[in-house]
Amino acid sequence: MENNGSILRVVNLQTHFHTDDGIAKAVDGVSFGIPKGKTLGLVGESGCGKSVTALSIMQLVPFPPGKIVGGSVFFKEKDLLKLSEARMRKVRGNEISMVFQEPMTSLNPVFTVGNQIMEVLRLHQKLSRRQARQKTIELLAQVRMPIPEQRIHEYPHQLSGGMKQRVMIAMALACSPAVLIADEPTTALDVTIQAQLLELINELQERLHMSVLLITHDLGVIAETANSVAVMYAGKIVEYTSAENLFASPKHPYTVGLFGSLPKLGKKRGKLAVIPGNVPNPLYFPPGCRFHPRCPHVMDMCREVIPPSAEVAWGHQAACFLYPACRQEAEAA
Amino acid sequence: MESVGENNRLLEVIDLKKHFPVKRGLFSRVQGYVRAVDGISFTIGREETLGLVGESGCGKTTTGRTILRLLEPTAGDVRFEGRSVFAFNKTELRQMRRNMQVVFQDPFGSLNPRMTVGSIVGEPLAVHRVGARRERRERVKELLQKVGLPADAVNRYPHEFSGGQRQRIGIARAVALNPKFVVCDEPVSALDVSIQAQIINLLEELQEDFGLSYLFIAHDLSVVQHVSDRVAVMYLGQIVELGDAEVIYEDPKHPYTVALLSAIPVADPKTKRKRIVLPGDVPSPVNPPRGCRFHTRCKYAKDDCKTEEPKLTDRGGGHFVACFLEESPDELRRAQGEGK
Repeated sequence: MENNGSILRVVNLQTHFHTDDGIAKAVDGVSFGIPKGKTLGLVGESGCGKSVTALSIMQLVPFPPGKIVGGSVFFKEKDLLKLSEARMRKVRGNEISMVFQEPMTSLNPVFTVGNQIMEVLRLHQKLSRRQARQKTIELLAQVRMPIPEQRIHEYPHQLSGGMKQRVMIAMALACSPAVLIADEPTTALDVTIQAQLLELINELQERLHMSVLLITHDLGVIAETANSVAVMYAGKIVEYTSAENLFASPKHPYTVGLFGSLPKLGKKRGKLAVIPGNVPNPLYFPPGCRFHPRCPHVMDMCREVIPPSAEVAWGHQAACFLYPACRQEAEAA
Repeated sequence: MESVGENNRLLEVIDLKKHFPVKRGLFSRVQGYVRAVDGISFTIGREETLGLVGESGCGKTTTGRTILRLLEPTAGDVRFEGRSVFAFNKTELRQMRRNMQVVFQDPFGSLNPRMTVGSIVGEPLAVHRVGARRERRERVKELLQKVGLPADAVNRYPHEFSGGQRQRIGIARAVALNPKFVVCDEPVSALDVSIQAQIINLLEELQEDFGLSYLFIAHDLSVVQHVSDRVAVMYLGQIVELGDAEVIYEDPKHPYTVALLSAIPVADPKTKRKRIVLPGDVPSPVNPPRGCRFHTRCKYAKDDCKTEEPKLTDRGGGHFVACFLEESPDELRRAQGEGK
């Protein structure tokens, strides 16, 4: 997975939360890149740090308790983490924008949806009121909102969940961003509405040549939308490769376990393969490989040394001592 | 109706309706009714799992609650072992509840944060005065072990446990009285994939050990298909299709079921298929469309569908469908073939 030519490149990102009980290393050395016009899927279970990764890129991590303590986020070869807040504000929502998981809570209930989209346009593109209104109607039409001229006068509570998420997407697309970060955009929605929205995001991406960082826990959504995939576990990326590679031959025991625990449509009833135990608390990550207490292939080495990420097959990175490449990497370090 | 033999029936739901009044204005005048459940019928056999799927707002949770008489029905009947649940008085109802239990969706909201796990799981035993205090304590330990929780959990509080473990506590409470029937209302939707699989396996083990029947309510078709013997698909308060889990998956007849199946993202990038994207949203259950309730989103809708309501009829082998389409049209079938 070469990072060259990536429009957004995250290098060794570390975001920690300082709490009364200690430091939670929510994101602990995460690196990936998204080429222009492609989709990177970031998968993992709740608490693995995928949303914090997204918030770190946008520099929206609440401080305190959260703080980005290391790494870089290169956007068009500029390090965003070195920008002033004023400069960052010009990037946020303009060149990189974000769609959040909960359409119910991410819209302001006391403003009409038209108002909220117009705000983005007036702020970043300095459009006049009339131009902004015109553009807003166009944007809503683009996300296939029926009768957009009327909808702009409605308040969020008058819209269904799927419609609210369309408004969120319209808002995110308002300034034709180069990168769209979608954090679980369809998780709160029904499958048929999810299908509508995934189709819409795919179509808009092709038309606008956007790069997308799609964050989800649903491997099915990843399979249908992503070009490459990074699997996160306990603050680290454990596997990183193309979507074809990942689904054809997952390498990390965690990824293998995840696939096993999915009930498959059309398969006869039977025991599901299970990953024993629970996701570790970020305050008390186990030493060595963070997956070792749940791993069926655990070795002595795994309990002490954190496995580095290495290329275990062509274009396929994993961080697991089962693979000689990772063992060599660890010895070299 | 149905493929469950007469003497193997545990639960019978007959034309069940539950409408909620919509009140507005100064004097809270009733403006209309939300027809959450609008005439559904099915049976559940002993040691059988019936899956109930549908999108949010289709009435699946209301169905589960009305069956348990946590909500009073508007019309219709539910018979448990041949006796009408709605005819019971308070004492009889309490007796009946020993046999009918529920596992809720939200493992955070359904456990009292001020009670220890021991008293949560032991409460049904105490309420029904099962055994002496010491025996109850033993039974609680046994139950916790059964659902895979450590024995020291007895004296701890719910907040000390993760979502998956809390769901185990809720399950231990539900099976404490050796019920015959458990309503599982989205028991795994709030959990992570790896934990989901653990809970599904646990529910299946308990079913074998205790001979339980489940009404398994969920919106995730792949989970439902995995655990269920038969599946009922709900749309706007009515059942549109009901049959063996495999048949529903292999040969869905109702256009809504077909669309629902095709909308599930498949974890395999090589299956390129035509997803059927349903236009629009689910209509409001206050004013459901006339005729077939699905006609506003159905691409096969004909004039008949707009005026007449299709009845749920047997298409052979206990496969019930409520649709005027005689058989799956070619297009339907092709979409299905690609969907696999």
